[in-house]
Amino acid sequence: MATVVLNKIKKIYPNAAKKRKKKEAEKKTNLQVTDEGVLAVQEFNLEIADKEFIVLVGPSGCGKSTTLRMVAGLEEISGGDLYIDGKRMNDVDPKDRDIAMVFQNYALYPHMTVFENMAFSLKLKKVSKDIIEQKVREAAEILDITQYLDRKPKALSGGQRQRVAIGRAIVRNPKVFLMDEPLSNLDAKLRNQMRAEILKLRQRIDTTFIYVTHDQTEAMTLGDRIVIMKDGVIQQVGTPQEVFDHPANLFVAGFIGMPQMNFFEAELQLSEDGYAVALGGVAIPISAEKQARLRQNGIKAQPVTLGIRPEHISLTGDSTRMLRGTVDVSEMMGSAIHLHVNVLGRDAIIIVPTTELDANGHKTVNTIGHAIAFTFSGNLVHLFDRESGSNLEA
Amino acid sequence: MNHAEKKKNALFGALLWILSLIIIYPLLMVILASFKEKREAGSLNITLPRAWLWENYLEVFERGDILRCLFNSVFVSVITVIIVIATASLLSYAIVRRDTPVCRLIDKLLTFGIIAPFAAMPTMQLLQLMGIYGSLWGMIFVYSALYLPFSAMMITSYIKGLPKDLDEAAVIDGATGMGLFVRIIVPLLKPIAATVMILVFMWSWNELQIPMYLLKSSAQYTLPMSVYSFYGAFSTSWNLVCADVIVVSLPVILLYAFAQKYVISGMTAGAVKM
Repeated sequence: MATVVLNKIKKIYPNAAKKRKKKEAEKKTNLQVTDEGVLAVQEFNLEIADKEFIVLVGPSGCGKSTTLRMVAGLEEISGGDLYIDGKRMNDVDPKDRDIAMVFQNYALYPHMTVFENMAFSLKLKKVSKDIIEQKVREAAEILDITQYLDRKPKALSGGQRQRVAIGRAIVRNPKVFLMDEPLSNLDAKLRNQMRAEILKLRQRIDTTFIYVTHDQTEAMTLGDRIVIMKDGVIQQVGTPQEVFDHPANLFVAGFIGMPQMNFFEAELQLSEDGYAVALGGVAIPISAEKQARLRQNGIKAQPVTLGIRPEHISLTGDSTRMLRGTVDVSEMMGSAIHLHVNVLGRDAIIIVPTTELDANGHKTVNTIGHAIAFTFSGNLVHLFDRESGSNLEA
Repeated sequence: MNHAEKKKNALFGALLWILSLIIIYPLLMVILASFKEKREAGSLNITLPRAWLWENYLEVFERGDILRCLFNSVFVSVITVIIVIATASLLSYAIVRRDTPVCRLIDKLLTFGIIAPFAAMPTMQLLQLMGIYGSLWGMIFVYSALYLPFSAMMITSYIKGLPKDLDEAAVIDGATGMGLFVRIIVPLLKPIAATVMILVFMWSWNELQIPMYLLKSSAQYTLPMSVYSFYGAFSTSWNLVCADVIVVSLPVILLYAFAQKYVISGMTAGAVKM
């Protein structure tokens, strides 16, 4: 249990030694390249409270794993300070940082049994045999792997292996629990199951967690707070609800939420009645709460990028505020239908709950090429600056 | 399988049999000649011996000083294997896990170690300078140097297949340096170490030319050199030469028979994901 403070943490891969990496970086992502090298992580500032569950999320190459590895001590910190429980840890060996880490591919020692795998770190610390036995059994019970203690990792399934990897971390009773995409190697069903297990585990071992994932569902369901990263830079830090309701910029808006938020090029209008957003010849007034924020920020009438989540679009409403489009693809998901609609030359997704449709509605909505009309409420729109992509309300 | 395919397979079978004769013929000749009497064996054919002379083997053991040669061979081969495996695995581990320009250069230099042939004169001079010329230890060092590059290349490609996460997990668990290598990496090298062991053992066991350059007295002769007790400028006892060849080859044949699965799996390690 400990606080973790990352103060202006930076990671630079030097030019000379990592020319290959630099080339790859230039190709794949937009990582900034300076004279010193490739900036994999820039000015990372974060204060993690005691017992908080923090999730670092972002697309591959965004620097989330690098950040975690710097906390673990597996990667050198190029600049800034790392504090765990108030102590500066930049130059402390990984084993002395009082952390434990779970890897994506489990990293179990193949030649040791499950028991030996879990006992390894305690053995190195020269803990007495009785205590090792007791701690391993306790952890095994928490994770329900007692019956596998004598087996080698190759005789276990993916899910069981991941439990052993977590068990290996638990026995150390670490101050900070680091997890690097621990569920990515599991199939979808097992992933859901393990996600719930991690939540339960968290309640039982109540310590500080830093969890890295590229999966926004994992981030939303597990994290007390989410850190969204892109190209080595933090885009937004907030609770799942905050980042969902108030994305700081276009990237966060597009990254969080499934299916992705719809974006349209629209005009923000300012009249005596207040702000309204005009799209395809239809003006939709903005809610009072949003108006206040826009006014506070001194936003003028301007071209904007309008964002609206697929689940916030309705097929019914004021007929004067209806936009029109044609159905390109319809996906039946059971509880809802996802409609890919061509609107103003762009693809937009609309989620229609099946409960809202009668038998006739099902047929018409599902017809490809069918013309539909839809609208959305002014309190659910997100407005972004067309050039910088930042949220105009922020 | 239709008729045409059957015919094709039969043809292939026949061809393979003919090709294997190239190996079977001399092998059979050696086996048969080892039981023949001296003059009969001198004709070097594959007729059955008129009388099966098991005494030839007894004579080989007595005149060829086989037991002493066997001891020398075992000593040289076993120590060479130990040195090569220990140094090659440490070297390979460092090369693979330390991604520095020097390590990458050493990795490339290993290829030259395989290409460069054994040069007798400089080697002899170097051993003389070190004061170990003419000793079994001198030969052990030469063998180790000769077989190290290939062994290191094999182990290097094997270690490249071991996930780096294992090292990192061990580092977090508190293992460092040599402890990490011995506790985590060495146990995982067992399959490739078995392959390298067998190959290096076979090579050092079968070597005939190098001991001729590097050894001074017949007391240090290794097994393959025992054949010179029966093969001379003035007379050659082919029956004893053949018996000696069989005695010398048997340990390696037995070793290979038991361990061939390791040789094959080690050779193909890294070729396909397993």
